[in-house]
Amino acid sequence: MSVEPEVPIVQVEEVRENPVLYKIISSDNHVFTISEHAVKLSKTLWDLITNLGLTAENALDNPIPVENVNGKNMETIVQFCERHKYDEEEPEYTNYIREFVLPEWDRQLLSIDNEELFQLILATNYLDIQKLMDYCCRVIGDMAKDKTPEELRIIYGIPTDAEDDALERSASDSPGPSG
Amino acid sequence: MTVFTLLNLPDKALNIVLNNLEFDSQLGFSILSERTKALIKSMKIQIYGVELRIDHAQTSIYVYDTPETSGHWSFRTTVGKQSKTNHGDEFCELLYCIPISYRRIRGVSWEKAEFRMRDWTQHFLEVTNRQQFDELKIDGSSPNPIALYENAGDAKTIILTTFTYKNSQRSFAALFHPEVLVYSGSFNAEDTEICHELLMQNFEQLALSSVELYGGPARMELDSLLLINSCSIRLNGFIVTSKTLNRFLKHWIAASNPNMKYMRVNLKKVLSESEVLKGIPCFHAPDDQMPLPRRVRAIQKYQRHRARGNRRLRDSQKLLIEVIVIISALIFTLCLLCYVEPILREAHYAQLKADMENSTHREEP
Repeated sequence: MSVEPEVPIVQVEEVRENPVLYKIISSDNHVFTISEHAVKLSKTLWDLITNLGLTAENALDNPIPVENVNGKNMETIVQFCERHKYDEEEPEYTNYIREFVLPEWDRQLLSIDNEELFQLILATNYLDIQKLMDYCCRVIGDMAKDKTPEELRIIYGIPTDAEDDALERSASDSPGPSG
Repeated sequence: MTVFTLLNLPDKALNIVLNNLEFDSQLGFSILSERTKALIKSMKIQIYGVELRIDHAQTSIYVYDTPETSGHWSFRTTVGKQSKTNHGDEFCELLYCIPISYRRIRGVSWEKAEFRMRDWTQHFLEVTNRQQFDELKIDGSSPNPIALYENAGDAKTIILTTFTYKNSQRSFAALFHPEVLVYSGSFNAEDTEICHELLMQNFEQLALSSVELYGGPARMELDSLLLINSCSIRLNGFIVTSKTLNRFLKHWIAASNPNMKYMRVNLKKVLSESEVLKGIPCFHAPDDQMPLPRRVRAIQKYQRHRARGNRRLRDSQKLLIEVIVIISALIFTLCLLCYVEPILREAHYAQLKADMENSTHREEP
């Protein structure tokens, strides 16, 4: 694989202690460098690296294209992964999720517009980064604190039953791909 | 700021967000639409208990997150400007929920105009994956049992007072079939019929309290005790003599009450343990075999107070000591009151010590 990017390489964080680096190209052709420890946080990327047989020697010569993630989200993701690459493994989220405290650094990183946060979650889901997913979802969950149900409806854009029915009707009335 | 379109998230992310919500918010979210209700229901939230409490002017749903922490939803007793009560056919319509989480000082008002009591109760039960309330407590009001049953359904445990039950005795017993019934009343002469009816029913657990507020304490005679048909019975505040109890225990051993396995008697009057257990082959329950070996703890606590010379205790204050004895496969707990007042205290403690020594001797074949 040899992709010559036309945009400058984004050095998110200088990595001195780990010589193995990988290059990732976002959907809008931004190139990011990420260390081995950091990239392991993404199950999708690490599986890809393993399957492609990338090694310390050829990693930088073979950038990995990620079609589903744009440069803005990829920058946040790389920052996050570099920050948390040496974190101890945490237990499954199901039982402890309400208990953990979101670190201030991460809260700042995720203080973004709702639409951007939504897109970041889609990217995180695609790249399968559990920790970032947990953190993003905590930020969304925190929006509900001390809110009435009707306030939740507005914040989360929840349609009423009547609106759901209308959507369903219009979906079934509209012609399908073959019609 | 733009709306966060939560329901468009991938399933995995949506599930994590919902798990991240506070318990109050999960329930609040569930009332927004059928879809949100189904989502919360599918989470199978682990809830310790859901209770419905009804007094003369208020209806409340208590949802226990853990045994210690609860959310509390109170329902107003007015519809528009019309005042409503929980008596007879009238029933508090549920217009607002005010969740009071242990994490917050101030509640948040919920509104769902089309919801009535039945909708609220059904909703809480559905999203907490329950067929019925864990507890239904009716205090100081006597709602029409049919209306109550239609709105709240049955419950595992029902807590009632004389006031509730007397006014709807027949229909109440016909409609509700709890595993546990806790009943506080006077049990005086005019209530004998109620008392006997309750004793004859086969509950998993029946707790009867003769309460001064309702005209107690009442006498409990041997004939009444022989009617007990529940697996576990707790009698509180009755007047039962040592002789009556002793005779009943002998009948019990002889299988007079075949369904009854546990009995706990908490009396106002101080009885002698040796008189109650006279001639009965039994032994004190070993601490390591009983879930609540309170006897030992109570004595230790008593001794600590004594050693410290704690004078802050009022003379009228009493110390409850449970004597748990095993009679064949039956378990009998006699709660003895130990008075802090010095003379009684010393006398009672001496009696306890003597009883303990006697009981040790009884263990020998």
